[in-house]
Amino acid sequence: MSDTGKKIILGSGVIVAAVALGYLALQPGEVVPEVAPLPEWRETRPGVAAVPTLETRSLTLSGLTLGGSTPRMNGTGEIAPSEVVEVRQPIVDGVLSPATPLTVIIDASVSLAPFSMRVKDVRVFAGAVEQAQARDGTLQVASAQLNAPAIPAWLDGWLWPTWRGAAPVAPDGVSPVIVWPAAAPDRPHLVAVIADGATPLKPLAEYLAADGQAMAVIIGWEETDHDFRPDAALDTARAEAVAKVVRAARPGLPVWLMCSLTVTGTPEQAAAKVAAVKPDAIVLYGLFAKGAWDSDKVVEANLARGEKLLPGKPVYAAGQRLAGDDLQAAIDRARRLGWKGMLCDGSAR
Amino acid sequence: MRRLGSIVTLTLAVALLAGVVYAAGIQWGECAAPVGHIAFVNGVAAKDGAALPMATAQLTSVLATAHRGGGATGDQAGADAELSVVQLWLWRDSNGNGESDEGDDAANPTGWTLLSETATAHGWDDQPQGVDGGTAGELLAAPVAVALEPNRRYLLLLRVVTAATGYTNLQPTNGDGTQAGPEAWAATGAGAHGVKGAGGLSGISDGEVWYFRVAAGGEVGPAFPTPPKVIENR
Repeated sequence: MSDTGKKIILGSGVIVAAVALGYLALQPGEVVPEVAPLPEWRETRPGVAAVPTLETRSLTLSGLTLGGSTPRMNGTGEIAPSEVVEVRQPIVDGVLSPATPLTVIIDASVSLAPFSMRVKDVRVFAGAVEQAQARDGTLQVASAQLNAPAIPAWLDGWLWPTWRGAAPVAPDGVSPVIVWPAAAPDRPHLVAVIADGATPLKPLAEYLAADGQAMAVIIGWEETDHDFRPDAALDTARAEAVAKVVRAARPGLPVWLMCSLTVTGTPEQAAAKVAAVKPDAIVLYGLFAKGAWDSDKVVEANLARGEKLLPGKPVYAAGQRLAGDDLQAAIDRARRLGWKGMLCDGSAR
Repeated sequence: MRRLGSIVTLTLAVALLAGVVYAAGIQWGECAAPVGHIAFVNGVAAKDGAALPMATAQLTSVLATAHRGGGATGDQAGADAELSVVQLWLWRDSNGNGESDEGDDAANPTGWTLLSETATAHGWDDQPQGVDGGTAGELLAAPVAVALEPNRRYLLLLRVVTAATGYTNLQPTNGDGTQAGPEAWAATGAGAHGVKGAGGLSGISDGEVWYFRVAAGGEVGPAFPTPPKVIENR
């Protein structure tokens, strides 16, 4: 029996037992008290007096009374606000009276405290503007023409999810994935970009223009912490903006697009994102466990999903939580069947 | 007495509803494992120790649930998209102790035998949660010829693999449907041992594996539903 079934039976049993005990607590012969019939329903309605009609009257300020000292005037002849301490309304017997003058009492001792305001997050909206400019080609960004390191025929990649904390140094023999803006190592690596709708893109261009060891940039690296996050859903406009900035900053540097197999939206959304970005390769995030790699049939089917998204271009896998013989067997099968590389989760090794 | 009946009926209804609601609180997420269980094989209920008729040479029908909910669309296509593959594996329990172990290795030279694979989510239900409450569906796309001998014992294992993650129904879970570790089972090697009728290995639960035998010669009909003591596995 499944765990869920056991829970249902357990919960049901507890409730049945509780009610049964309650019933058994009734003593034999105990009579349930009778309830007197309800009195006949009668309806009463309170009387509401007619509301008087409001009449509009004009109000004239007929005089100004000063409470002691002479108020100071500003350059335009107005009384400084700090001088006014009380304003008496022209009300007589609770009624607004046009005949009674408005009274303003002035005291020169009143002062205002200084006030200041600080904006904490200066990123608000700045990134959205930059992204809009990037899409229409008007954003000016840093640019550099650098020769990127070649991508190996089989990419043995290595990543560390940001939600697991600070990444350790990647082991030798692998190509690490650096999540921008983390410091780029002096060895060939991949740059992953996480961006929301307010992420400024000029700093990304500056980062890439100075990074001569980047082999490719993976966009759409919006991670999830084992749960659905709206930012991780597909956002075509954002991806398009990031891709254009990467290409402007580093002409010729490959742009790869990540599509999450676990949180990826509909196939139509994925296709729209691919069409907007025109990536040089696709990276499929998911396929974590051995079960995704221990059968040719399964491995071929998942490769076909990537090739359907981006025909004729390389397909990479990311997020594998495998180690030892299981990892080597997965690599051997994936390579044999046409995958171009695997970006494994370093936290599982 | 009528009042007692009303209370019991109402209580049962409320309890059932509460149980379903509680179970429905389990949300599938990135870490969720699939579920499934074997219900009937060749018309015989998958109760441990039940016997198939002596002349059985083929598995013609396996009714099972193998699903991970109805997926994004909540229909059969969505359920299928959630699954990568559903497999049926057979182990010959040659020493008859109700467990896959080293004593059976000679009868299983290549480990567990893969009998059938399909990519169809059978018995899926339209809830996105891990409720294994779907009506069992036909798992075999076609009859599978398998060498079964009279009066021999076997284990039949159902393995469900999800599409996006590769997680299976044979992984240990946290009780809320999320996976809690790698699959302990393997088709060959040490991971092939330790499977019992009611589970055995971590992550394998009753219903995902079925311990059965083929009726002996001269036996009048299958021994179902009361199997001999010698093959009880509790």
